[in-house]
Amino acid sequence: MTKVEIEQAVINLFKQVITNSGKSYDGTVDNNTPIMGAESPFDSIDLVTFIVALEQMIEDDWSFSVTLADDRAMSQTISPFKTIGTISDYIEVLIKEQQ
Amino acid sequence: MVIVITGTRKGIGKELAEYFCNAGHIVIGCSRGEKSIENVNYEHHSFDITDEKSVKLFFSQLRKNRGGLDVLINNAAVNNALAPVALVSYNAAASTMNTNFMGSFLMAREAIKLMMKNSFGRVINMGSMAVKYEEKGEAIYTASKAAVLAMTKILAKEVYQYGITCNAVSPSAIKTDLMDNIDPDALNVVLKRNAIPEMGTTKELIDTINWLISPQANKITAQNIYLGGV
Ligand SMILES: NC(=O)c1ccc[n+]([C@@H]2O[C@H](COP(=O)([O-])OP(=O)(O)OC[C@H]3O[C@@H](n4cnc5c(N)ncnc54)[C@H](OP(=O)(O)O)[C@@H]3O)[C@@H](O)[C@H]2O)c1
Repeated sequence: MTKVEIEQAVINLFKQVITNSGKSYDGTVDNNTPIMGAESPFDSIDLVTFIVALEQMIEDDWSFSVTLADDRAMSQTISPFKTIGTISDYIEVLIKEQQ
Repeated sequence: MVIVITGTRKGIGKELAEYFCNAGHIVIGCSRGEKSIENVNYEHHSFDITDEKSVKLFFSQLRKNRGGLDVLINNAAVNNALAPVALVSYNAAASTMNTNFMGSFLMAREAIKLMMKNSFGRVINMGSMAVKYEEKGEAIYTASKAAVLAMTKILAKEVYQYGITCNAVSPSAIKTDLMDNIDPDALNVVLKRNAIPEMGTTKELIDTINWLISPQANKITAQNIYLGGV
């Protein structure tokens, strides 16, 4: 699983959650797109839906069982739940540990 | 429906599992010990609900084999700390909190992830009348159940938008191994305070759960239902 593949999958899922929640997002979706906070198009329900869908996609498509909201995620100085880039980085770390 | 029940090796959990299997539901049960129910609709998994890895694996298999679940009944519990606080060991308290609260939390956390995807779910947590009575010698068990009730109410608010309800049922005293160490005289005094001053049965618990999981109860959430006229 390459970094680019992870990022692309995360971006696709982000767009899917936005569409399914009936919202629209005009900005470009890339590594800097916020997934949390006032700047993000996600509300708290979208964020939960997104994280749960990510975990299930990682298990279904790549056969890794991960918990994204684990203790380490909570204690990092830069939260993985900031942008598409930070969550992609964290997914890469968790997957590498299981390889 | 696919119904997951924790603590099905014996006691109330076993009776609930047998009832729901006979009513035609698929019941997936678990306990640390081995399977004790023979029924075509029953599947058993032996694991400890306080072990995060085992809980994750259980739900991962459930998703692959059954596509998810409709109902979670968080029934498994222990009372390892039945003594005045001054005499309760750290491990007795920790293991009671771990099973009763952390175990219920872990099971609920993973269950709602699958329920969200199906936009339907019912989480039923087991409370206790101990929370209402605040009996001496039951501080840790009571605290663990109070924690479960607090989680029930907040979780209900978090998941309602996903079509999931979350409630607690708090039975009166029912004859099981969990009651073995309770002083019968003290229990009688407590029961006399209830509108129904005798021991409860699993029957009224089943009736209540049956209603809570029915489509008619889709707007009943964040509630704790006391049985026994507490
Ligand atoms: N009996 C009552 O009067 C009464 C009253 C109010 C509320 N309740 C509540 O009703 C529920 C059931 O109580 P009960 O009287 O049926 O208790 P019980 O007879 O002692 O049965 C407890 C069940 O939980 C399982 N269990 C315990 N720890 C576990 C763990 N860490 N992981 C997985 N399974 C575990 C046990 O199986 P293993 O040992 O094989 O793991 C057993 O099947 C509890 O939540 C209790 O607080 C009971």
